[in-house]
Amino acid sequence: MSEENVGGMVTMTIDGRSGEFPADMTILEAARSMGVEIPTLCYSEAVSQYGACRLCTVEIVRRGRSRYVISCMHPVGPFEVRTDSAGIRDARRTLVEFFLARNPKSPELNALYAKFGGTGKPPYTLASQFGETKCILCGLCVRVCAEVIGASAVGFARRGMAKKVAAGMMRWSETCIGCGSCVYVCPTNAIAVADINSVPTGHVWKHEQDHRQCRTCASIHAQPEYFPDMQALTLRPEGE
Amino acid sequence: MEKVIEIIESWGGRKDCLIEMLQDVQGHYNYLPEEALGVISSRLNIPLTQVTHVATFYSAFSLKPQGKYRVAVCTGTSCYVKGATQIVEAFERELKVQAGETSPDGLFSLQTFGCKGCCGIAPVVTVNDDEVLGRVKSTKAAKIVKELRDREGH
Amino acid sequence: MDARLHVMVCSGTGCVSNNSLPVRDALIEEVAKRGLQQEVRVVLTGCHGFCAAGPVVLVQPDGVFYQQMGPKDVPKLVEEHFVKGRPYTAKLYVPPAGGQPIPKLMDIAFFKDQLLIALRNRGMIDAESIEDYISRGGYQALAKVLTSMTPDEVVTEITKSGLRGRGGGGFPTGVKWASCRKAKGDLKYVLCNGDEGDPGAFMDRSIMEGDPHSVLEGMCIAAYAIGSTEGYVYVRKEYPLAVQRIQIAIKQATEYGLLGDNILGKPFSFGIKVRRGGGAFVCGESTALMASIEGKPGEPRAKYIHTVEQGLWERPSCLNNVETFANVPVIIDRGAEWFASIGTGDVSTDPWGGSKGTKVFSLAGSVANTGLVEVPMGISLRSIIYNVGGGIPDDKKFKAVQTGGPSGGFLPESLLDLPVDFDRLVEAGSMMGSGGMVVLDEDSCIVDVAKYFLRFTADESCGKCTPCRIGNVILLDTLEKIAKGTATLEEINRLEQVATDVKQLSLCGLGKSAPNPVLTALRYFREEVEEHVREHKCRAGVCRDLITFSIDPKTCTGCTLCAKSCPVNCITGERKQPHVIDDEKCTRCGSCRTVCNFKSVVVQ
Repeated sequence: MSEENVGGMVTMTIDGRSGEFPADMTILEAARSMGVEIPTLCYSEAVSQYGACRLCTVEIVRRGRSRYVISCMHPVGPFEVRTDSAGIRDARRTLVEFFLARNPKSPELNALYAKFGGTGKPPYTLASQFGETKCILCGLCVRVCAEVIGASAVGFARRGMAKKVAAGMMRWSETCIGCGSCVYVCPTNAIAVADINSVPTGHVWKHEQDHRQCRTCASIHAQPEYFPDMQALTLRPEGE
Repeated sequence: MEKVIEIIESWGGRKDCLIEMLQDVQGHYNYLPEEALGVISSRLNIPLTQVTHVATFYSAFSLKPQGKYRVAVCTGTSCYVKGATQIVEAFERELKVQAGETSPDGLFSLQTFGCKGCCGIAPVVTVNDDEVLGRVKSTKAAKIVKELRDREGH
Repeated sequence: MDARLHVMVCSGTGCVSNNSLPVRDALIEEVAKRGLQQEVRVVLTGCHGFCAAGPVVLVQPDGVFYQQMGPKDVPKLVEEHFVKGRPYTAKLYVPPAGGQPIPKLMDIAFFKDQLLIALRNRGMIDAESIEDYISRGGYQALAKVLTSMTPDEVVTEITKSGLRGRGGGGFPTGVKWASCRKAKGDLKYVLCNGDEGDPGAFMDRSIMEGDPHSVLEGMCIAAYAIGSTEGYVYVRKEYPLAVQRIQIAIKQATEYGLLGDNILGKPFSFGIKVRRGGGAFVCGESTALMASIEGKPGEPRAKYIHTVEQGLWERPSCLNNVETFANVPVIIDRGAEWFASIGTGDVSTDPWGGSKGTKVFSLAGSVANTGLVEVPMGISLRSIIYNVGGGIPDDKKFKAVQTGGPSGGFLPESLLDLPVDFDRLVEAGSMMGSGGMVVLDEDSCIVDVAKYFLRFTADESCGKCTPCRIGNVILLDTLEKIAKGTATLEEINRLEQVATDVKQLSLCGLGKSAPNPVLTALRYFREEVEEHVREHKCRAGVCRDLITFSIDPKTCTGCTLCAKSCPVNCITGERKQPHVIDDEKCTRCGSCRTVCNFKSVVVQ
């Protein structure tokens, strides 16, 4: 986001407090700049916005009419924003209840559930029909791998309830470089990397990273396919 | 995979024509072979994960070989209220497969689809997209299957 | 020398699958045999919209309508009508209630009350002949626009007409064009939405197959108005004939200088290409459609920045439905005032102030005359169903009319006098949608049909946003429990809240409208819904867990057809003796009921 006054400044009210914001700022950014907290799950400053989780939904009131929009993508404007109305609080809880339907044991989601006023057992369960999964399809791993790392080693597959995160052809990834960015960015710890015999392995898409240690410097870990290239670059035969 | 390269070139190697290319590949092989997707991915410089998403998002595509005869029952609204469900069940019994599956001998795939736009002759069953059968009764499923088998000289 | 008789044979997908092409062949052969080739011209036309009566043949200029024609009927038809000059009574249309055959198309109730604007060329032209289209006034509007109107004037005229999107959204077309015209960018696109994903709707198919030039002309006028040079027609994969016809039409129009560079000698160029869908209902949504054209999965995106400013490849894009474009040339020809004189409300100061012109509906379900009907906005549902539609057949009782496809809702008998109008339908909890209209009688269960629609939208959900992906499945889940009688009343009460949440929080129109069947079921048919759970009863006799099949010993003739058709062999009985169904084994598949010619199978 540019710091310049692109298209001028806009006066907007958030929860009763007025402020002046650059016209190309999003409501979420504006809110944060005023210290107003809006919960998010699929948002990250590091990547493009996707608008999937809907958790950052706020109410905007303009000329007496109220609308629900997602603050991570909606630009600021000459209207009143309510981030904490009763309707919004209910909406947030409902969204978390939806997530819990397939992810009942998640500590992160259960914490949000309690925070948004949820008590007792969450009302919906789809786990027996569709299976449990920690993944909430926020797409952060996909976007990070594509936009920050440039590997696009993971993506989505299928649609609807069958939608999932997967590697190419939904089997294993040839392009994963084992950087772990996806693990870092996942809000529900759905991606596991385990050390198996000192070989880092990513689990969500059943990718087993076969990393070999270069004997020479013992600090480079790379997939076996890259060895010939690296040998050519460094002019050292394998095994040395 | 020469055919795949031919198809890519027939669409000018344009990334945006991915869906049309996949349709042509499927038209030729009767499904989308994994190797074909790999070739398309590398030739068009589209990440394999992206090609995978397109290939699995749209219902036109199948990653598994389909039957020689794709029997598709329309389950659009007009056909539904005229008993499409019973027709699907009748074919499931007749072909001994569930909707969405292919028979082990590779001869038949049973599918359902949204609407062909022939609502006046509902309920509708199509065979391989081209043959459109109208006013189908669930009790005629056996006859239809027999007629298809007969074409194979069974 | 002009032929004295034109024989229009319907070649819409419905009639073709009913063998209308052999009828055409037989006609050509018979006409030649009698040496009448110079006098009688046999023409293939697009869909007449009256598919249940197909194959359909219309003889002009007499306006005589023949139904259910077969090749073997042809010799007699030629002799009676073409040679002796009188209608061939055996194949004339007979009203469902019985009575005299009705020879003339315009006297048949189905056609009489229709007002054809979008379908003006229905059954009158060879779909693959640009000459036919031109001879009926085609491309006059384009000529008028290019020679005597500025782009702003075109936008004003369309706005004044009150034309609103016919794909479902009902957005004022003129307003959309004005925004796109203002948008900054050197390259702008005109897009035609031929995805028509609503199951049971086939009006766009019939226009694309039967009158493709009307769409191209509309797009070209739009391109001039907004400043576009490139257009795409996006056709769903299930319509290969439509793709073909449009491609032929584009080629012809280009040859005639009506598309391509320097159209009609003016410094205005516009080219159109056809793109195909891959099988996804969600691609009827504008941003998903554009993603699909870009070769990506059809996942919609937020539209806070409108697609008229940043659409296809981030460029200004004007997307309209097939039927919307088909209306444009007529509005230019006959004027905005004329168009605005038809329909409801007042659009002189507010483009949203009324519903103007006509709408094509796809009438289906329990109604005598199923097919495509184009009627003026403001006509009542009752009029469509009972006058044009011919009422409910077989003495069944009306239960509900479902409008708008999976995005719409059920309307009860008490609302039959509701005028068909974008806003009135929304107020009632439903919507116009692309024009699907399904009539349900007492044999349809509201829970079952609601379940059907939710299953459809759950299958077609792109899966991107939480409320649609998970919320709609929860709605479906609850409906399935209601159908089984195992839901609790509390779950039914919660249904409304979940439905409202999904409507409010979903990203795109699919999610936002998917709960409508549920909400209207609760609003107008709550008793029937709760009955499933309170009394374990499905009054329509549909929900399998709540019904039993039995055979009435008084009417059963012992023909054994049912026993033979039963997949689980649960029917026993001697020949000519009443048969009995073993309730324990019965799976309620309904095969016995389908084959019984004596209506002996009782469902309760």
